[in-house]
Amino acid sequence: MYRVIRILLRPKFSATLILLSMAMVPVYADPPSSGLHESYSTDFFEERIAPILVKRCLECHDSVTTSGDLDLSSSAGWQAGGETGKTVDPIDPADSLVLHRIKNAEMPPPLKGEAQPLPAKEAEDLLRWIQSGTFWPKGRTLDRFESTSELRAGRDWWSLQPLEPMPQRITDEIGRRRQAGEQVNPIDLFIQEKLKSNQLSSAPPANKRALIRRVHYTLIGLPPTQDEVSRFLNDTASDAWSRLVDDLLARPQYGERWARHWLDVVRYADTSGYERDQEKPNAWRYRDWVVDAFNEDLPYAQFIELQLAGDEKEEASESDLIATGFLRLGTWNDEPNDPQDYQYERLEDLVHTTSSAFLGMTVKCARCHSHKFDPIAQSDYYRMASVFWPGPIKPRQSKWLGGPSPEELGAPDVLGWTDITATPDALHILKNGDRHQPLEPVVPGALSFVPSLQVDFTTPQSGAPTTRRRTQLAEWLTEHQHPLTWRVMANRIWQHHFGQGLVRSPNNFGFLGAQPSHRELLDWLAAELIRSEGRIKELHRVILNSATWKQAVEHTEAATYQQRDASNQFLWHANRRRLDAEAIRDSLLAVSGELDLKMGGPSFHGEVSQQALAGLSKKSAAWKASSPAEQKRRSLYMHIKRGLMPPMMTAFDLCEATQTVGKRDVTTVPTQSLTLLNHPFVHQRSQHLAQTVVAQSPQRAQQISAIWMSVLNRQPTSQEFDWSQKHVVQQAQRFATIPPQQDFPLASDQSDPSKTLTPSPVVHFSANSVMLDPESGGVVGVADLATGSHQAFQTQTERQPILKKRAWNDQPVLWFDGVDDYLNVTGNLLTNDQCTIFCVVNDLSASGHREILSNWNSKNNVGSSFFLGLTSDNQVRITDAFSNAGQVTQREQPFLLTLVCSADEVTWFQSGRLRGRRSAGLPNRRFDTPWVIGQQGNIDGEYWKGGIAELILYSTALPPSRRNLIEDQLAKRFGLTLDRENDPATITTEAQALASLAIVLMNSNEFIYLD
Amino acid sequence: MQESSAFPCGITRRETFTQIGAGFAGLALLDLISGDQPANQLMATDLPRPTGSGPRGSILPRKAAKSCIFLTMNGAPSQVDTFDHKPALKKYAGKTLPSDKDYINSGGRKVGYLTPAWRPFRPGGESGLMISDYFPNVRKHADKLCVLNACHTDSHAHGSALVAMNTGKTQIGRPSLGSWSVYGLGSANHDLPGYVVMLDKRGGPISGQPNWSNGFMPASHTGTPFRSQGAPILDLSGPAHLRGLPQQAQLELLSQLNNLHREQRFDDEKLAARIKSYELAYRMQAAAPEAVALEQESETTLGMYGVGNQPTDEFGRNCLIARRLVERGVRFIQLYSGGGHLEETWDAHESVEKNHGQHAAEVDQPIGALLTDLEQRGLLDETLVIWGGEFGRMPFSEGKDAPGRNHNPYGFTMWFAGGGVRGGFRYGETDELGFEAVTDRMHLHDIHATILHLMGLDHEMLTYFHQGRNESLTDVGGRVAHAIVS
Repeated sequence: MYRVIRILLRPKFSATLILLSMAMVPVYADPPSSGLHESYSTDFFEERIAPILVKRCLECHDSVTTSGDLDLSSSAGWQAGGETGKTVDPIDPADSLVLHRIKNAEMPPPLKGEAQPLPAKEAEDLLRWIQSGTFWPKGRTLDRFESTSELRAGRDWWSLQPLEPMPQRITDEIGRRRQAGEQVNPIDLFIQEKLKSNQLSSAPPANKRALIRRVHYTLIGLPPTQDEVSRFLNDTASDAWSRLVDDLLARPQYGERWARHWLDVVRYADTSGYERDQEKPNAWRYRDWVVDAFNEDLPYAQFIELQLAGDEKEEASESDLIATGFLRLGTWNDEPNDPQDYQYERLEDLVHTTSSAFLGMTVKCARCHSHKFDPIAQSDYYRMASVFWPGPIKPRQSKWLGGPSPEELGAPDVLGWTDITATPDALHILKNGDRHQPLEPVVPGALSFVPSLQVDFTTPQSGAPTTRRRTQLAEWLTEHQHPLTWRVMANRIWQHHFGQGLVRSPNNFGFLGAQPSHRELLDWLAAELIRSEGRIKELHRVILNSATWKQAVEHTEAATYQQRDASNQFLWHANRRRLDAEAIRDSLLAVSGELDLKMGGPSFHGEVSQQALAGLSKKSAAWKASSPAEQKRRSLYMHIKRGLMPPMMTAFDLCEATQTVGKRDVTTVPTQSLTLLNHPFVHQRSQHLAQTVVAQSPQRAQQISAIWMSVLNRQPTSQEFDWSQKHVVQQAQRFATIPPQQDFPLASDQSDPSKTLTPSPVVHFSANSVMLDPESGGVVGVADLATGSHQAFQTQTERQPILKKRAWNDQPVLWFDGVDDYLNVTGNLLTNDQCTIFCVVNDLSASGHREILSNWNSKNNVGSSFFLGLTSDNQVRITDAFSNAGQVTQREQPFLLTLVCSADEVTWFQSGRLRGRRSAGLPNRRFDTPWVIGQQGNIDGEYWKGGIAELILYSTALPPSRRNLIEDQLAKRFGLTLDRENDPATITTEAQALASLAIVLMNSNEFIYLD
Repeated sequence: MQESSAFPCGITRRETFTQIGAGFAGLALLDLISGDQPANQLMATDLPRPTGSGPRGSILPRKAAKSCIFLTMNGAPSQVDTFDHKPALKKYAGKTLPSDKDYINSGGRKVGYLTPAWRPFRPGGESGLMISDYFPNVRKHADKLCVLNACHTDSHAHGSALVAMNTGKTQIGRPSLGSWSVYGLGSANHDLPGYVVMLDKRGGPISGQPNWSNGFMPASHTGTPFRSQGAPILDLSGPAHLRGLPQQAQLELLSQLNNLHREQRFDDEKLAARIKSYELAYRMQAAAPEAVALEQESETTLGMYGVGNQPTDEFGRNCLIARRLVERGVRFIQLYSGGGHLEETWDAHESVEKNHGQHAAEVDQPIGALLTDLEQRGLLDETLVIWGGEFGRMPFSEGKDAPGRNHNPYGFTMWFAGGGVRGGFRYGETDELGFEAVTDRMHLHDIHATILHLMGLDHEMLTYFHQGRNESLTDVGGRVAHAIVS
């Protein structure tokens, strides 16, 4: 039912709608019998006629758009008439062409075949005016933007008016209260006043636990620790709250949190988008610049100036150049259909982002025609566009990715912007936005909607390196008298404190945007921002110290109040807010104790499943996950690739990074539930937390409490505790019945490996035990250390690998040249596909298939051979049946590759970390063909390039405990670091059951929603 | 402007909508919410209430397609070798394109000579539509096809042209056709995504995700990549030890805790919706694998689609899954043939015969089977099947005796079947060389307008308010080709 709304009522040309929705009476009443003298007056003209002309006629018939050669905006225009003749018949005014047009419903023109007759009252007024002699005040010219009507905004639109000073009644009230010794926050007075007039009242203050969670997330985007919670709960001093706020504002994590809000506005991403989706090198330095700007409380005016024109500062520092990255963040297509057209697309992106970010105005709508709803002329669009025109807009070398060359910018490692020329060609207004239809050239300048601030930008002296147009734009934007700049930013800040702005369309303060719910308050906040010289931390303090912000979500009158103000625009209670994507991911890391607060630097590449990578045209080659340690950094530092947004984040409404976003959607869909229940990232966190808890306390009751405290910052109630305990006990029982071979061993098995039966390896080749050719020095043979029943050998000298004696951790390594080196193996190694293979290797191949061990044979088992190797860039390949088995990282470095094949599962590990799993055994392998090491069977190809130091093979799928033991030994010998955090094998059933509880809590509404 | 104007600003309304949840299984949430008093109040007071309760942008009561299967031939098949019969090319073979024909030489490749079709054309069905030997199985369905010979588009580059075919504009960042369909029609199955994308195993299309993006719409309208084997969607199941009973136990505890949490708070639809979303997620864990459980299909059906045989196995599976998804109420299913780059797609620069020979052999039998199967099950009338690439190819070669063809956005062919289109019908023509569309031209926006029309949506009414503008798939263009509607 809801689904029908707006859409049916909002065709593209919304103007129709308004007319349709107004009460309509057939046009043309009888001519009025009286009042002629009254209609021949300035008052009548200004009050009755001008609004009609502005609203109904000037869209097509003004001095700019003289459709039918008719200009109705001036007295001269009325007298001159148009193509079809005189507008007014001087002899018989009632017979005037203009009235006939109206009477016949030809004007205003029909829309989609439907007549748009003038409302009777307007038609009547026009008739009277014309009959009485068409009075026109001397020298008066009408302008379609001069006043607001129900169809559009004019220059008198609220957001274009100067900020209003604090109303006297509020000032008086503050004085009264202060005299009475009361603490008073002006915000509360504004809010209370509106609540009262709407028969609403505030909710009581939220409890301290809710408050500390709320303020932590608001200011730093992270949950409080247990210590922080208890410290605050026990702090009864009167300034406990303001100290907490100050403390959080002083933390570097504050800048990280608030930078993220700004990155949405500026469409931040780390790549360009489109086919090649190139890295934007050093984009991260802009991100870090924003973080620093918030942390240092950079005045807002400077924040704007540096982003728009940091390069034009005198003696611009590298940091100033980095700030201009703002202009480089958009998508960029190196292969546009028409590179000439594409310049204008880029200008639109820059105008749109700049005007949305700083002005909250949709200036881009005036690219093809004057704005339909706001007082923005088409010339305004081009005046603003010409500010960016001298920059690297025109088609140039692809390697500069749409920016200046390093020489032009004067800094090699900066993604920045500067003018390419100080004397650019004139930019012309384009008819319908079409570059083939240029109209007159424009003078770069400020937008015209605030006449008192309007200015043409000056041209710098000859020899100046840049046009200084961007600097002048910034100067105009940061005028204290600017009606939009300060309101728009104050509103953004308010929005991130309350979940809604005072204007609920933060990027649109125009006619189609939302009206302010508390205009006087918004003006006061904007004025405060100016007064504090644009210091945003000041505004945080004012807001956070208000009673309005500290209200509870719950209200005793909620049932009644929801009827009156369901969307809570009057703020009679706090909005319940869902954590955003970054806060969810960061919280998971924080509560498990793994969050790495390392700041700044290049973005890390998140782990992306093979399934999600399938969406890329270059698949795995295009994505390399960063190290496990990097994965524990804050989400702010996650690499954003436009062609592959991180699925875990987009599930929770991380916005598309192609256009500016002032406010994210907040959706609730089942895919989010699947993500939080099943995503490996969540499981890793829960397991880490469980293991930590187990290590700290042996008692189950304490463990359960600790899980609750960690995840939800509180103890469970007795009922919650009982449920939790039952869950943990039952899960532990269930997990214990799963055969250890498949998943994880019993605790006893872990603590004492000797208790398990120890199978022997089938074969064990080691570079420690080789026979060398005395002449060539090549490796002739390798002995089998396990049973001695096999041997690896190579008789052809040129195909012999060489021995590097002190290579990895001073251990010897067999070195294969990737051209023709390999070893034959005597005897058959396996009879079925159940096996465990350990090898210590590195890989220096560029790409392509290359094998470690293989029994492929062109005659017997094509498609059903057994082999282990790598393919493409870094994919592991385990027979043809499991050919994209997952990726290795840092393959040039020695690593331990472990493969475990059981009847119903294949898993493999890189240095202890689970990297790939197939939930079925390998189908129908043939094992009656010869084995080789370092190439693909008898293909004479797919040679290994790099070292092989150890190769151990078991003819059974080893249980995890056994596997770990062998891995531990090998790791120690070769100095490798093992990372088993995602390996269920290393966790006991007890801990696994606690992890199960942790997952439930991480999925709970209490975790996801802030009270 | 007055405080309460008839002019909806859109923002707060959309907010409400998305808070509640929509799209992918969103309908269920909406049903749930609409019974709640506060939400009703909100709708009654805060929104203009249109009459009737049809879908957005609806042009009901015309009988419309309920689902759409878009067979995307990624890389751009050659029209003059497949569905646009140009006998004159034989006559002009070896000559150059007349010099008055203006075009962009995409990639600055060699310009060769007019080259006739690489395989012969033959008439199919009673209509006698001429279809080449690359598609012998599809030809058997000639009387179901409505062949659009005069398509043209805005870009000669794969990346931007495919994005345009999917989203209406060459710039990335806009909602795709499937997103608009789901936005307009909702999903008829709460346990499956409304918009499913099945990629080619060789890789995704270039430009990647923006091709199935929700753009500026809420994330719930995004295309969901579906795999034909294993777990079809991301994060459908957790680690092995938690599958089945253990996860059920987790959901039970979660539900207890969430309900307790909710009882202690005043009625909040957000909390209720999120509780509900776990029930839906649980159902989806069963529904999604079931949708791809081809073992439920008969040997005959599997054989008909070419499942288990090469080279048809992969696309055959995908086509068969598409039919199963249609049966389960999924609105929009997009299947990619060709993935990755160059010859892995239909991008036949090297050799039309080699490239199209391979790719057509992969898809011809499965597509024929899909049309047969939909018809036999009575689904063809309510399922719009679309075939086409992001543009076409040149009638001339890439050099003397070179067997490949370069990109051509000026004239290319798509075809529709089912969903209320006229079968055995050819609409629009290219010039006698098959170079550019000349009569009954269908621009990209016209194609989109017509697709939406066939799905019961008016492309001018189906708008989404975004950053000060009512955005639509077809922007200010788009014209419905009424001639092709039966």
